[in-house]
Amino acid sequence: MSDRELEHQHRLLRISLLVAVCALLCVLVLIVIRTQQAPWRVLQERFLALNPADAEGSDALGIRQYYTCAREVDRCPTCHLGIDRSDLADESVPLPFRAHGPGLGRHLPDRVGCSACHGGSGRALDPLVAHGRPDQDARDPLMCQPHIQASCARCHVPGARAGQEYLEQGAWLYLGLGCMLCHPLHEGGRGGLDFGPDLTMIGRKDTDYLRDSLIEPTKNFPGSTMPSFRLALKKEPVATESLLIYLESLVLDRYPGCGTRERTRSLVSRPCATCHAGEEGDASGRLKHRCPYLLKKSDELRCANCHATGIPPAGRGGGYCPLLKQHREACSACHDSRG
Amino acid sequence: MSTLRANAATLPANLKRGMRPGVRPEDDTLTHRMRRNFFFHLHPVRVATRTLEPKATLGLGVITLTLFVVLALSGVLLMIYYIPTPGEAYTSTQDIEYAVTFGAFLRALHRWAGHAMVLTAFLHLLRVSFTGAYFGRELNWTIGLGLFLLTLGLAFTGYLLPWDQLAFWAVSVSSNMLDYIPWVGGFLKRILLGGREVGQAALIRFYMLHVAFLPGLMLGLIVLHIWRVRKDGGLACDPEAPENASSVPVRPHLLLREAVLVLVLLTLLCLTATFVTAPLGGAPDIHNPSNPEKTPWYFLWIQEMVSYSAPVGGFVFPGVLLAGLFLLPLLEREQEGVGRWFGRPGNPAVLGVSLVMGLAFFVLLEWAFMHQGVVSWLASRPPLSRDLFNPATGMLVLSVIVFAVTGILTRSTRAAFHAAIVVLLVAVIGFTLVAWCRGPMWAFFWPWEEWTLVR
Repeated sequence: MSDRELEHQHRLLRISLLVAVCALLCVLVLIVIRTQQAPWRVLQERFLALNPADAEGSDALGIRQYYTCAREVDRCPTCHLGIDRSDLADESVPLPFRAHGPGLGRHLPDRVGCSACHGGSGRALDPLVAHGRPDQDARDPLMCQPHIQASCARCHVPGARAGQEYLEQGAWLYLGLGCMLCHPLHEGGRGGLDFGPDLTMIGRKDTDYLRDSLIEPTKNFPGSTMPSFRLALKKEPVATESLLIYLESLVLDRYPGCGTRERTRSLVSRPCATCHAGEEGDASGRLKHRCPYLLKKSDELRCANCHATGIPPAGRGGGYCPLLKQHREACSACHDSRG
Repeated sequence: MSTLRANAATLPANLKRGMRPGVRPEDDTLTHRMRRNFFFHLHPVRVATRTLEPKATLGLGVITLTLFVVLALSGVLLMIYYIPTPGEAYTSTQDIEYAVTFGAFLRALHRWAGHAMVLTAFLHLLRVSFTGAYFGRELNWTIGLGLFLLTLGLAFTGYLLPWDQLAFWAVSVSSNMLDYIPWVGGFLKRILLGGREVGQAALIRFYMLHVAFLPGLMLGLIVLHIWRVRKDGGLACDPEAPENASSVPVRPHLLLREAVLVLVLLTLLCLTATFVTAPLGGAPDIHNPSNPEKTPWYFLWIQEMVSYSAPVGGFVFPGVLLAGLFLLPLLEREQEGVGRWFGRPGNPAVLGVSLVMGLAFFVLLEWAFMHQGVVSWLASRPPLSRDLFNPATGMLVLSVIVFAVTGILTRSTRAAFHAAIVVLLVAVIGFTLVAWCRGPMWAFFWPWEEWTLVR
């Protein structure tokens, strides 16, 4: 390289240095601008435009979140700004800002949160991720009616409360179709005929996968010996959905929220009656089950097939019973492992 | 009061003197200033004019060093929010991604810079190999190899930290590959994971390695590496060769080039981090392994070879590669053409031939093992035949043959080594690409095909 060439390059390099510094600064500015234009900020500005009165208080803007009893964080109210506002319950209010519909009962959003029932990623602010669309790999999908009924099983026995018709019917179908003959419902277990996989966590799979597995088992597992329920389920869309909803409920852990904690505390003084709203249960002695719910259902359930007493005791066998699976913990508050 | 006023008046001068203790006013010349400057200690005073050309080094060392600094700074910022416990690792990563201001940008910056650093460190290694720049620099070559392994270690330990489905299963399957190292493999795995499986102990170990131990070690080795470059006579060149006789001062010629390179790199990195978000999967689910379970991309070639033969893919092939690289500057000592790409003028043609041979043989092997029922035939043979006949062994044997033939024909050890490296490079890149295409049940799918459970 000659001196003149070097000199020429030197001049070029100084210009490129200037250009490079400017480019980097521009990119940094761009990053700040993009952060300011996050989808939730845009939504909040729209909300304030629609409800100018809220602009006066400063707490409407920014990330809003529910910190639930289960120590989960749900940031849903950041965009669903009117979710707990009775003045925004009208149908004319556009969707992300409308209040929650009736029927919440004692499920207070600031204690139970949103994702405990609705699924989705409560921490996410990106609408796609938060709503857990099926294309978002392995994230909890958002549950809409009737699939949201699967979430009820986190705390309630299927059918114990109104509004769980699908879940309840699914549980009956699970019994009626004989699923439990092969598929156990306790971790690491084997089915009665010793070849069905444990379904404790099957709810993790997405709905389409579960539907395929029910209707055409060989589609997902070529070597599957499970009979196809195509004929049984084809003309029964409600039954198929019910069974799917029951299967979806299987993944969910018991909700470690406020309700459970209160219930456990009161169990000490008022066993059984706390869970099963009926006559006061008696936990002393071998087994004196006075649970009206189970008493009513025990014939239908054919409890006597498994339980000598005719009425299911909590300690043994309960793990197989799809209706009682979710309630094992509550039962064990009164009954120890020997029953 | 008057003293205070006088001091205030001379404040700038006092500040300047106070911040540079021991510097007398008469020392404030260009030479002294350069001697005091930290950045000039990384560089010599003059460099050979030839090494200023972009093709001499491709700037890969500077790029890798810049990435390290970017990673260190963004990593420290991420540490503010990250909580290394199984219960909170994933949720705190979600918080960084969704709620922390600039959190998603920082995470993406850290992730992409980490991936880029693995790539540039690897390219730097190739550049030094193919320019023969390791000549007479056995120590620095070994330090460089160590730095490359540390880069892999840092990238791998960082892979677990988001604690999502992707991270959990990728690290599970990668750490299982340690089992294929004879005698010590199981022990290494237990030491790394703190148990048999990825869990609380593994997370805290990976975190410690990722934020303290490995970066600390790396910083020390980087300092040594750069210091040795100066001590060994500057950037890759033979000081006695006539084309290296002319030199220019580092300031401004080299420094300006480096500054432009660093700024362009930072701009590109920031742009990538803004527009390409770092992936974050669902919460880890020990009941549902993803299918296929894949290692991080830089270990995919090992996983692909292991799918044919565990001992060869998991131990023999990587072991031979590593031992060969370590011995390279000791066995290959040709001084001619040091710092020039591919050594002697005739060598590129030789390398072209070995590249074509390597590619052809690789495609042939993959084709045979995928379509011709070789695998099912081997399954009926004794177990050892799987280890003797598989694509990894095939490429290893080819590289030995190419090495011997090139050595005899050209009478140049450098050409022989370069030819063997080319064949092994084809194998590593080829296996990586094939493994990248693998779908459920490790079946091969072309990139444009949809993955199905049943092939």
